[in-house]
Amino acid sequence: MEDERAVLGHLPADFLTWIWFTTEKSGGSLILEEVGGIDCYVDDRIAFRAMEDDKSRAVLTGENAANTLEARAALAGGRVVKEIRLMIKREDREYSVSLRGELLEISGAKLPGMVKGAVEEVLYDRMYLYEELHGIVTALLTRYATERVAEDWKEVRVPEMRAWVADALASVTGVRSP
Amino acid sequence: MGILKGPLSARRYTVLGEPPEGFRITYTEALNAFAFHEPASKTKTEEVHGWVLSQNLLDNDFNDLEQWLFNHYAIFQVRTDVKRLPGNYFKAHLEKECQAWCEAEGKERIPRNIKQELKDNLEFEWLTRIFPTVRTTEVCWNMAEGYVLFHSHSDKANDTFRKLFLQTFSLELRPVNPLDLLPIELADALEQTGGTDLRMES
Repeated sequence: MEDERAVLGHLPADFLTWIWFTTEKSGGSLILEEVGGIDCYVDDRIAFRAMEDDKSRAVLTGENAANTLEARAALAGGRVVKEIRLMIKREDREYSVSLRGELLEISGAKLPGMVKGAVEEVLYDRMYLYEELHGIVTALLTRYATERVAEDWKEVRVPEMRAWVADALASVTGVRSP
Repeated sequence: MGILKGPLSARRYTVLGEPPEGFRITYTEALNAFAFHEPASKTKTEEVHGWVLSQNLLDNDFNDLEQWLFNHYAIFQVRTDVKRLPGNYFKAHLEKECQAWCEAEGKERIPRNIKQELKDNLEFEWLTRIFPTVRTTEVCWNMAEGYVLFHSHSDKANDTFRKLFLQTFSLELRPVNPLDLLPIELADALEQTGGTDLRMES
């Protein structure tokens, strides 16, 4: 067993923002190693915090919360994503889940379907679905990490993400940066 | 709500170590040893913790393996009871008792030691009559994969759970860090990065 690693403070915010950006750019369809094809998009809740502390500074809810002016303005103004609610679909199974905190914990996860019956059957079904969801989140994290450590992150990906923020702001306000 | 039904909100832990040979017997004894029991004193106000079966919080007998061990999954709950006096309500009643004593004794002020005696008596009377607040949190241990899910994000509840788990099974739990989910080289490389600033460049 390896030594315990320290929690990487900026990882949750970076990862959650990356999910938001990546799923929007891909129209919600992703192909992930180990998992295959999924549909994934930001659902009805996104919370931001200031870079320096953990208190929520803005919580946006409702349909299309991520596409609001407030959401983009929060990013453009230096706030970071603290929590995000995702809809994830794999084959015919649909999950709704929040990822939150420095451990990127699964919160309020609605698992698809429900076997009714003995405790055993329900347990196996729930754990199968939980493990699938955990596997999808792990695959997303792996893909993010691979892109994050790549040489072109600063020169290519970050400008793309800044442009994404700016374009969305401009489409709502009609103001483009020079 | 918990691991078996409803929305799932859980902290995931890696179990440091593996169950021993013959764990079915060892862990049955251990779960029974640390099972929840109502305190002998009805006036105890400290929290009381222990294991109960997931099917019913009154069931604390782990002798039937089929009630908590399903192939490689062990599932049970932490039960925590605490008695709390309703603060303002209790204070108001105590004040009435103090006033009644003063009127009976013809005194303007109640001596501190008498007030304490009235308070102790009233506390004793109320604590023997009120029910505790009962909280349960589900646990699912996947023994094949070596992880545990605890259905709470509360740091306090998780601290209590980890201590109880260690006492019961002599195994430590380590919260799963996102870096733990990545291949080692990738985690090492990610640790060298900093945060991404998406603020508009001025």
